[in-house]
Amino acid sequence: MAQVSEVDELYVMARSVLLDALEALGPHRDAIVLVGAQAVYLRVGEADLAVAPFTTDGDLAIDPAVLATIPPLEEALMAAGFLPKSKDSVGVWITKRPTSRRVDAEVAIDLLVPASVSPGTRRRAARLPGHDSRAARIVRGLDDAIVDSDAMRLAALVQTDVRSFDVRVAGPAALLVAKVHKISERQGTDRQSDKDALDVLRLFRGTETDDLAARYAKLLADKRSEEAAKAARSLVEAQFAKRAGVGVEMAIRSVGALADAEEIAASCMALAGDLLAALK
Amino acid sequence: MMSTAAPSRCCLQTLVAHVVQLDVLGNLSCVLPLASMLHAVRNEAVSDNMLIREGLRVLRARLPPGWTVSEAALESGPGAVDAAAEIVAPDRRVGAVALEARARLDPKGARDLVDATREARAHGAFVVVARYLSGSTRARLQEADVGYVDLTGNVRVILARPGLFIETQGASEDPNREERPARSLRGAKAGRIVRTLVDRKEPPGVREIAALTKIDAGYVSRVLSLLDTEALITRVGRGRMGSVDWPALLRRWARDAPLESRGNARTYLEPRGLSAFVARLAISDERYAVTGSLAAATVAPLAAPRLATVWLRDTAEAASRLALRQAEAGANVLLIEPDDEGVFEGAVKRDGVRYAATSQVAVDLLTSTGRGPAEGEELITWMRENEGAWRK
Repeated sequence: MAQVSEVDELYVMARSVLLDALEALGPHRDAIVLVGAQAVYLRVGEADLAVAPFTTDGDLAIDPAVLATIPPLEEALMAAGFLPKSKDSVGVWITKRPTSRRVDAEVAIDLLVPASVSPGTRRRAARLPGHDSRAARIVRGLDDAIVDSDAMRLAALVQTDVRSFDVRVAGPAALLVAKVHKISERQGTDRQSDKDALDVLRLFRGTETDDLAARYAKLLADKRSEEAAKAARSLVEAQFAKRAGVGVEMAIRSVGALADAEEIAASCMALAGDLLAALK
Repeated sequence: MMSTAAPSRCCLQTLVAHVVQLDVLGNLSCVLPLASMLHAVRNEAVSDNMLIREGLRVLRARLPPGWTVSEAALESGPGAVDAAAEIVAPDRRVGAVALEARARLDPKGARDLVDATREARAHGAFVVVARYLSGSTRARLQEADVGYVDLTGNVRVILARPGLFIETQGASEDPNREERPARSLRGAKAGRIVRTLVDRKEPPGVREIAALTKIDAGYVSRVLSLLDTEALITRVGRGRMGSVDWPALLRRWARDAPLESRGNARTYLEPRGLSAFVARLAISDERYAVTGSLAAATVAPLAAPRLATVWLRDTAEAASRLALRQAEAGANVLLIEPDDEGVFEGAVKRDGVRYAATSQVAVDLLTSTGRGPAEGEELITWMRENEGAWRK
């Protein structure tokens, strides 16, 4: 039981920090799209896969086309108690929170700019005009979040915190595209995380195929997202539509003893197959 | 000599009665002396004697006016039978009948008897006397021209001289069936009776069980006899039940009638997981009842279920309506088409989903795969501690 409450405590804290960041970025909120694991959880919940559903980091994509110059991102965040993770870090803002254990927990907010719309075109820094060049970093595979996203109400996980904000949250098709790209890029490296495949299965499970296919078609039809979406379609097929796919194997490892391996495999294949068939 | 075309002259009280007197003035042939109205000399069991006496009483009541029958001395000789009787016509002509007493006689026994008594039957009319003879046993006897008398009034006795044809119908079911306990709790009817006993705080009587389950009282009696001898119920006085050892009864039922014997099961995959499946069930029009660990977990503290087991009519069609996919490996849904509707009895809705009665869930779990049996025991423990929550 201690473990569960500890996990719960981290979830509550992660959400609270996310709200802090959204509050701090107030004037810029319209330019922000919540992506990453927290967006997956908001969209589809656990989807019967009772593995810790998200990490504590909050990933926020920024649409430069909508972003204003004032206040500078770094000023807003630092005023709210966030600091750059290190002097070399780009787009990683951290804050420390006390926990019931002795050590304080470090929670990060990542500011990310989709590569196709980033003013900065070199390796990492997004170089948003009017903001510190290292306030946000360029990320590939996020372009789709600008195209497939809708506003959702984001509230705290404890009743004592009454804050809530309407924020754009990446849609399931955009999240799927980002996840399969991430799996592909990190495959075979020590940054590969099995939980990314589990998030894909959660997205499949929690989204009706018709809805997912309609959103995916929108991505394929938009210049900003077309390329990533096309590539992701092949990645879905290779990773999740066959028993030996790397995504299937990762999902199985991720659930461990919590679910039957064959059920996970069969579910991945069936739902990936449904999407691919609907897109034909 | 024999003619079934002759009209019946006499109606007796039995439902179907043909009593035809034939050839009254025909050839007189006394096989046995009229005077020797003695009891059988063979060392018969008392019950056989009683049976013969009772059988003759039944036959006597069905004879035409003026006819009599009495037990006669037994003719010694090979192929000896249990007793002999004499039937006397109004004109004092006498017909001899060999009598064979059988406490019980099934169709197979009838066939053996026909074979074993070929010689005895060659000497004249041969009649089997039994407490009760089923329709198929009687048919066997009739095929072989063996007469019969049972104590419920099923009678067929044909004499050539003096000409006599009696055929009357008695009970079509054995009125004393409870004397023979059921052998197991396998089968739909036994299952319904067990459920009725387990689910009620006050043990119902035989008639009440019969009415509740729509099963004839004779069979209910037989099942109760089995449960009595197995000490799964206690009885006070004649027929009335004192208590039901329901946990032991559930275990015994599970042993006799494992899950796979009670229906036709097919495995499916709901790739979106059990919650999605349950949500679909809740809005479906199917006649279903969720059982197994998914149902148990809604009442007792059990680990998160991995398999949805559901009693359902027409599984193949329902599966497609519920968007399930056939699966061998990795299945997470088991649909079972029940042999009997009793599985739906007492189902309750919780959060819009229909779950089988707790006793049904327990017996299903006890013979399920994986952790099922252990979960069944856990559920029984919960049921013991919360009897008020599920027993009516």
